[in-house]
Amino acid sequence: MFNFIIRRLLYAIPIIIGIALITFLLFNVVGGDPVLQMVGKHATPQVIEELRAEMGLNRPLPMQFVDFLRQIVTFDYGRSYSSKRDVLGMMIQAAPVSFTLAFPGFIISLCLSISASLFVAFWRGTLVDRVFVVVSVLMISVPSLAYILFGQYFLAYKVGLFPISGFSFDPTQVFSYIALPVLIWVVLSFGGELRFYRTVMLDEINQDYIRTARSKGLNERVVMFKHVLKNAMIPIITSVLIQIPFLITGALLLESFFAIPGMGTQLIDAFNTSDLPMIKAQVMVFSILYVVFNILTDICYSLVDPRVTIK
Amino acid sequence: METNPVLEVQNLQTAFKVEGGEVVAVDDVSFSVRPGETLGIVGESGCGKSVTSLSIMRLIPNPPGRIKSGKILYNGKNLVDASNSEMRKIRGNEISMIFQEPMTSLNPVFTIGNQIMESIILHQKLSKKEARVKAIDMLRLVGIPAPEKRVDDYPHQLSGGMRQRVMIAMALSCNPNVLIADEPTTALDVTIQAQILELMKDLRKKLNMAVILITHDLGVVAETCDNVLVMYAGKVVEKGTAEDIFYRPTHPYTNGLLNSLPSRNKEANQGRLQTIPGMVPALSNLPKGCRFQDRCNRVQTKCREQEPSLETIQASHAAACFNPVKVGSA
Repeated sequence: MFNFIIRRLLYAIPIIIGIALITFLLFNVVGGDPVLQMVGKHATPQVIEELRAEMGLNRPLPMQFVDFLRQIVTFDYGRSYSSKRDVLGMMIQAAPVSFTLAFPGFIISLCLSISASLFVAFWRGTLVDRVFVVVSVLMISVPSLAYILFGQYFLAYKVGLFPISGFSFDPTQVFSYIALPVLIWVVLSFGGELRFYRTVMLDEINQDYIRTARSKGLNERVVMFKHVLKNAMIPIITSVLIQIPFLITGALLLESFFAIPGMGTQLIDAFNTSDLPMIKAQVMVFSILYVVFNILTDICYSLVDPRVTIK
Repeated sequence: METNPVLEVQNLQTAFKVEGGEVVAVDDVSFSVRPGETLGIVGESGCGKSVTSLSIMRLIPNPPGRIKSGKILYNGKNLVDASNSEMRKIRGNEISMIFQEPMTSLNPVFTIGNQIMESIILHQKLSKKEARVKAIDMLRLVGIPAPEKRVDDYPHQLSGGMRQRVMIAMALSCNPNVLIADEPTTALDVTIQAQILELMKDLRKKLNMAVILITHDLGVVAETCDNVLVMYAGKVVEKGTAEDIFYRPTHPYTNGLLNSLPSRNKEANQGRLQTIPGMVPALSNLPKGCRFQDRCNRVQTKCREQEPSLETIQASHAAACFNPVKVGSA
């Protein structure tokens, strides 16, 4: 097990370097010159040159890339072009905000969709099943903006159930601020997840060993929650664990529409202001999380499926 | 010595909903088995053997399938009307089933011990510890070496033959009165087949079970069965004792099946294996009259107009044919 983790972490190094290279090429080579955007149209060549030297952008590209790699290893991504603050500090401040919004949404929609999928799979082919399928397709088909605008206009502005936007960690207020975005998060993910888990469950229900379990005289509850669910955990784990990095990096649309100062809002701001250090830092943090959670997924397989042994 | 049958199926009809209608997979099937007796059900793939057995267990997936009519009497009680909870008490406890696919019939994520113990705990109300002891005993009974160790194995750690033994151990763990074995040896290689059949014969004697053996292997039937039911396209075409079927086959289909067995006496058929020409008709598109007419070498005009019903030939022997093969001419 220990050897496996070490080996997978070593494999991750070339992946990270590859991502770093692509990110670097995209922003430093292909993308526009950030200096020109910062100084505006009327700057003198001398000012541009000075600024360029100050930001280290006049150095040879390979040297800049090595600098970037050093930043990744030390987690010191420099200062934001726009706010002049330490990028890592900004992210550390924003991540818990994103997480406060995303985690409840994620857990609620996960629990709802898994239990609903077991329920629907049990009633497969009946009217209940069809109603759920139609509803979930409807939920997937409505674009997320529609939910956000509806929620903000009717539920928040007209009915006044929630504040329209904003965020605070104050324990008396945090709930009311995240309630509507969490609700929309759940609505947004429920349909797709239900469809996916339903397929997974139906796959299991038609297996021979489920028939065997029934032939033993087990009741449906044991059949569904023991025999079906444990087998279904294998694809479920894959889809769940790989979502966790997104919880930290935040929901772009929800955060920006509800003015929640999480990492999603930060990333959109960074795009708008060509804030290269922030963009690169967020891309790298997300990539590293993604790779790490991939390894975690493999480890979790061995916990659920005895056929998987980690050497 | 005539004992009462433990299981009696009367005019069973099981149908499946398909697009644009209904297909009757098992039509008017009747038979009975007594304790200690083995009934063989033979026929080609898709003739309704497995649907018959799943109907008895009430494990027909519903929808799309359902038992349309008929009775399944277990010790006099009609299982067709039994409630789900009554059925659960019977399944795995009084009537057990072994399935065709040992490779996929065990749950891959639980140990075999866990899976055997499940039904023991459920039906015999034993504690976990006692159930484990019983599970080890059962594994020993079906000839699994080092059962104390094997009990903690997962299915993927066992070979196909071993898994089928585990299935048998599981099915027998609550001393059922009826064992339904649906092609228990089809997926296994020949030496293992012989072992498994021998084991089932043995256990049948020890436990005085009634066994329903579903197979398309006539060799297996000849070796193990007392009575035989020959099915074709959802119907019983001939039934009788094993001797009736093997020495005095009456229905042209039974006759054809027997003739298509490879024989050591090559002169008899010029070294070529005989076959029954053609294919089983689709159940959704059955011909008028006898279902076997298009493949029959004794077909008459009457066969194309009317459907023959089972006619008794001798005490225990019956066939559904207007132009039966004469005894001895086979």
